[in-house]
Amino acid sequence: MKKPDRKSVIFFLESNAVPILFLIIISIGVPYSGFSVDYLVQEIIIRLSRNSFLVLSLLVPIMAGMGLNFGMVLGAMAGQIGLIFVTNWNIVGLQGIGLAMILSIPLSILLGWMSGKILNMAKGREMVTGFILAFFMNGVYQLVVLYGMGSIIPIGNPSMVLSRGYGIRNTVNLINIRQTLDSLIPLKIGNIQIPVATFMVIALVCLFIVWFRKTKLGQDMRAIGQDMHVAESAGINVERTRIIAIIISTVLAGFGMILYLQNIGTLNTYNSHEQVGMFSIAALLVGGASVNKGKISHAFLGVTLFHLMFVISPMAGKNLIGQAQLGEYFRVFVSYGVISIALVLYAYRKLKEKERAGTALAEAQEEK
Amino acid sequence: MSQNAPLLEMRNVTKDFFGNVVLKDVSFSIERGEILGLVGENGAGKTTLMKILFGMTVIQDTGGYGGEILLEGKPVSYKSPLEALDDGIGMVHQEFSLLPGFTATENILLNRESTNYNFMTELFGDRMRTLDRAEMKTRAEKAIEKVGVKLDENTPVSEMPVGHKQFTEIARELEKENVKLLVLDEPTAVLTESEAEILLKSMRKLSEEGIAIIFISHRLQEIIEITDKTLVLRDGRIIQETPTDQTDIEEIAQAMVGREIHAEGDRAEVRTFNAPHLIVNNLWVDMPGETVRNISLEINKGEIFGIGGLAGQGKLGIPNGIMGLYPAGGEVRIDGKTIPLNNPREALDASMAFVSEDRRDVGLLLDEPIDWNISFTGMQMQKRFLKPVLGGLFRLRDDKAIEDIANHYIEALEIKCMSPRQKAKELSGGNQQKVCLAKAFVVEPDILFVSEPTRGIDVGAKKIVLDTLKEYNREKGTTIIIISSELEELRSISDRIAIVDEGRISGILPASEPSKAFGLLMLGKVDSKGDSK
Amino acid sequence: MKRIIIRSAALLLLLLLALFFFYTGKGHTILLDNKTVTLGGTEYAAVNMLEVRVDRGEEREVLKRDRIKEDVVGQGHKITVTYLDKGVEKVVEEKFRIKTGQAMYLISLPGLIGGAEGWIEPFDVEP
Repeated sequence: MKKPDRKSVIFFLESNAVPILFLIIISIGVPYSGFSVDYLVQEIIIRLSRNSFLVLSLLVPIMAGMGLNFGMVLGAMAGQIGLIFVTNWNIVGLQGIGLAMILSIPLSILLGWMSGKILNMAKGREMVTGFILAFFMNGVYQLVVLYGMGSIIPIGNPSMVLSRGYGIRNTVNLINIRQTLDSLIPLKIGNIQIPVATFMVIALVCLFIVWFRKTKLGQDMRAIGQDMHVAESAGINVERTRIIAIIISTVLAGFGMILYLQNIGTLNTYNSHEQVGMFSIAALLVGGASVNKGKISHAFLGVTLFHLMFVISPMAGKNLIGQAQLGEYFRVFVSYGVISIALVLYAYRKLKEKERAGTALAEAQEEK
Repeated sequence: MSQNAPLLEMRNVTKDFFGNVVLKDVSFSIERGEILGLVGENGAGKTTLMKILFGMTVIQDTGGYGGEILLEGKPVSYKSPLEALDDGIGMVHQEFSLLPGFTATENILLNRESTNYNFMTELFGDRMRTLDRAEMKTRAEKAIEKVGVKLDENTPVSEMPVGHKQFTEIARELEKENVKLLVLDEPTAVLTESEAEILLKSMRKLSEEGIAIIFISHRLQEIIEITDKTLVLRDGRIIQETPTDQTDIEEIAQAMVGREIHAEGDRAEVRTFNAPHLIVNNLWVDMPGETVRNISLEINKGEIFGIGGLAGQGKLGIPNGIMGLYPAGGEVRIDGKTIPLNNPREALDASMAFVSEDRRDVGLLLDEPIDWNISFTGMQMQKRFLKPVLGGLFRLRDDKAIEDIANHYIEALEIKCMSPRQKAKELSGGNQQKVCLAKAFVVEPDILFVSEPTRGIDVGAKKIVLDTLKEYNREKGTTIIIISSELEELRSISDRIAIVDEGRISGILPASEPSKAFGLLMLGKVDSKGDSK
Repeated sequence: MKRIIIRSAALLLLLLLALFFFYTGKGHTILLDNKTVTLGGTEYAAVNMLEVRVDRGEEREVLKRDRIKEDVVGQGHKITVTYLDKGVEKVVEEKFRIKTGQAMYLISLPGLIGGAEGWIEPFDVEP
């Protein structure tokens, strides 16, 4: 084997700085947490089945050069509204999950189309626009769920409605669909439960993404992701394609949210979707993705590393400094931190690449 | 459709940008398989002519054009380049329009990919068809073969040498099935000699196949070598239209520059300098399309120093690099003091100023009025036009002083405007350029870089701009470095002129040398390496 | 044209799938009562002890004067009641359908055993 030269090693470290940093933190934290290997493996599997779908939904807009889609929160809202109806109607089991997904589709398409339109007006600033848009839509969501449901939209199930007669309660118990998909095909290896059916659905999305990249539409998105103007002058309808990318992402995020909540089993009506956007984006970045590059492997690696850190940090924190709250603190701090770091690194890397090109130029001079 | 009608005919095409006439009564025709050489100085109207042909939106946005265009005898008027492409007119741009992360194949077949049917198309439309990579490869190979070059169709464009990028672009145009007319805008400017040779060969082959070519080039040798007909544009008019075999380089060159004869009259007087002011050693600048590889210069105090050369050779990279706008390396010294690179603030603090070639994006605040534009840098950098308030606790804008200075320069530079409060974007190109100059003059720099000061402005305005620069140099003793593609312009005001070729100085000559000497340097024919004096 | 047909068909299919999910997934609560009731003028006495099973669920004991709750999914159901009639074990099996719009039903087990009309009736919680 050829000995890698120093420069390429540094380049590798630089371009994978975030995953490596997490790997180091985790490898220090695991022994301190005192968890058994079985427990950790089980946790990773649960988290993978719970979060992967959501994280994967982010990949399509990255391909189209629209950065990390903070607008996925909108899809999550659509998924939640689907679940609220399904719970209200008392639809049980897989049928409940299926129906919630079908219900979320038109909502997701509508929200995705809307945010796609808005993002087209803010080209180059998609991420911050998406972020603020999510805040705004959160207000609309609250209006509908807190005031519209039970008054305009009939909600027959009294256990879901606030005691004042309208508005959905803070938490909705999803007992009807709780883990029905996870336990559809039970498999136990040693002490570890594997939710085979959920992973099959996730595999399906991966296959979709792989296939999608090979379609004309996927190719167009890649072209737009590299240079909108060149794509436009080749006759690709840039705006429409970008809207489609966001719609696909939003619909997938809606599905992902439903899978996520069927695993958790309770819906925090006014919080679940907010957290999901932030954590999914952070997880993808931890996996080594960046604003303009995202692979399926980044999603899985990211979910593993990011959530493993959350699993171990409370115990590690307690054992190290006697503070269990450290975990929750880390959760928020780290996810915002990771997003900031990733964005800074992205800008830094762009600069570095320019510099590298310049240095190469200078070196070429010296050789002459 | 009549077979006798020429493939493309333009009749009395006229175009002005807000009263600034750039094309007047341009008429010509081109037959199938003919190669037409279109030459003219920068700003002669070649690019505008092609923009009209392709129906670029900028033409409609600025009031359309006059005259008629006929394709195979039928009048056409394209609303967008895509319509022109549908009619078999292809364009290879001066700037590459390739996607760096895509392979040659993907670029050649961009938006015309071969695809396979699958059931999803019935549900979600044709864009769900999957790409047929094998078929795409064959098509790309065929197109590359048509160009007549060896090119690995799987290489991403970002890893290609410039020449291969150019060939990829050409292959993309040729891949279109019905291509009848190909416009090549300076295709050889970025090619090495052997690559250019291959390109010319493939052009000949294409013309034999019946494809007409409009070939825009500054390299007159190539024009003579390959074209059937030569068309010379100057100041928006056709000066000469002759079969190429009845003309020669000198005649074309003469027709191109035309006004050289009387420009000779007001050649700058010969001055001598002996105090080195700005010294540049081994400068490299990574400016896309204008890469500077290795440049050393010594410029004297009070001198007007011209930098010329063909587009894309790196002359624009020099001021942009020294002023810290693009990544650069090497050494820059002013009066013996080293100026750090890659830091615009340091460059400005060293009393250098820069009038950018990119006045719309870098030079001007388009939505702000003239007086603000003029005073802005002075205010930011030198805390001028500010008056102390409350015993110096705050400083507020001194609107009176700003207005005074604006009025002064409006008068001095003959800026045509309604008032100093008029917005910069409402001015014509020439007047915008004058505002840029005024802005630089206000800071009273020791060294002033002026990049392409006359690009895109009309003849009258050119003269005022150049005269202003000259006057300013004489009055204040400012060292001026002027970068321009127009040699005659450089010769009329500079003391010495350096010619840049492939990112290096190919020679420095006094402005009094004949044009031919500079022309040879531009074409890299002389081996004298750039040491000043 | 072909495409329009296929697309409408796909949309219809999705709609049908939604309806299918809705009907087959609708959950209902069935209350199983072992109390003395009067149905249609006849009194049916509570049974001392019986075992009941809904669909393929587990068998559950219902004591005299007791009421248990059973959650079911879908519309068509089967109820199996096993009880001792003077020392002899007897089995009653009935099939029944319930309406999707009705969340809760009350089944009177003595009524069922006695073969009364109206052994099953909709049940609403007073709001």
